[in-house]
Amino acid sequence: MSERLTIALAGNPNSGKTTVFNALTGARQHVGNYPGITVERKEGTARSGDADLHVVDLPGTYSLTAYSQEELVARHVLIEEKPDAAINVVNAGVLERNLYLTVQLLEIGVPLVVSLNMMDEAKRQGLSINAKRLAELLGAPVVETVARTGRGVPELAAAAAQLGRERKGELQPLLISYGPDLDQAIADMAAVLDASPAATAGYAPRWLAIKHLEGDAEIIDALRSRDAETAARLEALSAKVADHCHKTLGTYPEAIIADYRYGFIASILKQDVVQLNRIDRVALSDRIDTVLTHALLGPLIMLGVLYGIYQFTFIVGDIPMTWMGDFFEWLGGVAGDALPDGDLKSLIVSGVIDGVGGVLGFVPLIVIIFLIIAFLEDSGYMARIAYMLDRLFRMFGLHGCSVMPFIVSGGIAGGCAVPGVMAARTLRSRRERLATILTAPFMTCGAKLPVFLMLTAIFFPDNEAQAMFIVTLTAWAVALLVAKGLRSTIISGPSTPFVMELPPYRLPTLRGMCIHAWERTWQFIKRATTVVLPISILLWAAMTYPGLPEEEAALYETRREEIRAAFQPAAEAVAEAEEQAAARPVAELEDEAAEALDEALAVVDAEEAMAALKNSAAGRFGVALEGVSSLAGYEWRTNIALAAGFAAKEVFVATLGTAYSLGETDPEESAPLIERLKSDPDWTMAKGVSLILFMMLYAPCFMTVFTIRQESGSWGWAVFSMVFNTGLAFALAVAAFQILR
Amino acid sequence: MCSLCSHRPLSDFPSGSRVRIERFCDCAGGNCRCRLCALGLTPGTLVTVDSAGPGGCRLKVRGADLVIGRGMAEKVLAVPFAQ
Amino acid sequence: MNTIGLRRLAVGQRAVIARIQASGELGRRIRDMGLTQGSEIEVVGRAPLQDPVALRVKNFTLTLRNNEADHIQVTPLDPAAS
Repeated sequence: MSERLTIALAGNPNSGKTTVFNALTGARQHVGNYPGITVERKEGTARSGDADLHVVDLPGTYSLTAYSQEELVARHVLIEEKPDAAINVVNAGVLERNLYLTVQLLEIGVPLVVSLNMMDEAKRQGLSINAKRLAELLGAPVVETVARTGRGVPELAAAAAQLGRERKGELQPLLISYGPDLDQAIADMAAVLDASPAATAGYAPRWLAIKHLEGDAEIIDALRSRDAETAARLEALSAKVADHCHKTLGTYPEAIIADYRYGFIASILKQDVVQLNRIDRVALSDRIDTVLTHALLGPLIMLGVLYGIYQFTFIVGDIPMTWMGDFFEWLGGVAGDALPDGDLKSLIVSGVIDGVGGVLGFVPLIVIIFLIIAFLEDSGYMARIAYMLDRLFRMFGLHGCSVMPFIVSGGIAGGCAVPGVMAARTLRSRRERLATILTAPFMTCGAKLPVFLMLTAIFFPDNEAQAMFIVTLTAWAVALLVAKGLRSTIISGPSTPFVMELPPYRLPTLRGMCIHAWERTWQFIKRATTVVLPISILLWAAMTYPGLPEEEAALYETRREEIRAAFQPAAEAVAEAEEQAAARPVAELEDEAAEALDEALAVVDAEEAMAALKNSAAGRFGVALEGVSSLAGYEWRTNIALAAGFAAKEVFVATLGTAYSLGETDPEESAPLIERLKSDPDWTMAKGVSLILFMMLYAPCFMTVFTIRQESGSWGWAVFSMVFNTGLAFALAVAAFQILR
Repeated sequence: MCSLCSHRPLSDFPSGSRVRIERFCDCAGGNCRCRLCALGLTPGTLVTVDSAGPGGCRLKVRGADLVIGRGMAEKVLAVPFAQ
Repeated sequence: MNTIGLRRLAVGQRAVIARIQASGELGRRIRDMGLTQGSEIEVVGRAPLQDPVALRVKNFTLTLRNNEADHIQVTPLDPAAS
């Protein structure tokens, strides 16, 4: 006499449940309907040894809530029809999500066998799953299957039959803790239910309590209709704890319950159940870390690495940057020759090509820096940096993870605050994120570099590298102190948890590094073209119009005429005399004379350009500010250049060059400007230091301001960054100037 | 709507967005919230929005792909997140 | 059974988690990392400033600040602390 057992088949959609069902029952299937609803009821028979298995295929579900008909049907069958056992088909490649249903089944307590299906897919993904360990931790037998080929199915049926025989449908619920807030409420509600058999109607009290807290509509309604008084007491308890959760934790009981279930699943998976062949690498990484995060060696190595990156970037980055500079110069030349003289030519050459070219010229440097940062991240070392610096950063109200935004923004000299500010998204706490976003722009980004290089060349000619290093350190110091100030005053509050994994060290792939570096470089390029271009045009207009009044322009023209006239006879006379006295060809002498003429004319042109600049809108603005800016030692030309820096900091050098009548000054070739300023008595050490400080700290460039708006969610903080930073910069610049002069 | 962060419904994010779930819309009933949590969409969880259309919203949550109806996606409020 | 705060474990010491008293965001982070009652951990190191602490949990390493570790009570496995 063969025994007859009822087995229910449950699982996520796409877990291969139907394939398992087909493999078990073959052609012996029957499809019908659950009464009153459109959900299909599929049943079939299978045979395992001596047992006749009546298999009921439940609808595919992710969970057992009251949300949908399918879920309600599934749980009815499981609880009311009381199968002898259940098979839970689980997609091995997506364990975490699939196990959610498993946990719910275990909480009901139905005798369960897990079919770890699609094992071939999992292997292909590189996953190796320890089924034995999983079974131990779940408290349920686990059978590996590849239902597609039928592998493991007979064993599955046998395991289900065995379990059904042993337990005969007896429930053994899994008890999971839901945390101090909910556990107490669950216990209280279960006690209320225990005392009222009419209400429970045979369901387990604890299970009912948990479902009630999850807001399960079917359970709540059923309780009300079975025993209104008990239902009311339960609802009061539930409302109280829900209210508590909302007020103190800002979340819902059902979310907490889900979190604890997922936490349970995570802890199972992390205990040797799933491996991506990591164990050896983790042990090796730990050994490496004893050196790299050593109390003394760790920080020393880190500083060494950062300094090395710094040097590498400049040495290697120099070559492509020179190419870019040459390219834009050539482009400017081509445009200059092709276009007729006049405002349009000036607009294209000085406004557009110089402006945008100046910024794009930095792309090589930016790409290198971002590649290096991608290397640090992908290799896992960046996590160690955050780990070692966390304690220090916390003293300033920041977080170990703030180090990334700082470095990307230019912490090791060269970078960009636009992707830097975006990198602050890893900080989950609004307060630390905001403090990081507002102080990251202080870093020495790639745009400020040429300015600092120029200034250190003028004022610290023999110690440029050291001076740059000190500039970088000063930026960090100010950023940290300001962060502390902000976090103690306007953005105070507790910090984000630092629960973070130290991933095993690995060798980054070139492809991965390029993808990450490119994402950030693209943001920099977008900035150049979308913001700098219109601003460059505006600036050009402000520096060109209004032009020199006619009378003044006429004066310069007169001077030029005079010079030309004076040179004509002089050139001829020189040629004659020299030819007689020495054997030098006339052509060469004429060339020399022509060169001298050009130089003299150029001097007049330059003076005219400077006068025109002073007369333009920008010039008048610069002059107007002198009243205030002279406190920090700045005159109108510096003012214009600083104002231009609002658009993009590197524009400062070119603008200053123009203002000092040197024509177009290329940021990489600022030698003539440097020489000019070195000999200028107005440019004292005091002014130099003051300018360095101001340039380091004042308002971020427009694109960064836009990014701050985007990341902080309001214009308020963006405007704050402009106003506060400029105010701070000015205060320090004035102090430096007044003290040093 | 919090003025210091930008909560938006999941259905509003462009393809490829990585977001973090903040809370559910006040109009989401108990059943709906329970369902969302069971699917893994709890406050604090990181989600990648693969695509959002009038038919449904395709997401990557906790290592798995998921499709939820637009109506449900509209009830989950999230903020952008990178890395 | 003697339980002590996680912070008091020495580097190299192994222990079993007895109780986690964290809620809200911290609790969720800790759970998502797979740290639950009964998990076995080993302290593999501390940052140069002695904070945070690095813990090995079976096949991965995670870090935790000392004031967060204070929410976790553990039962040391090795008989003598070093």
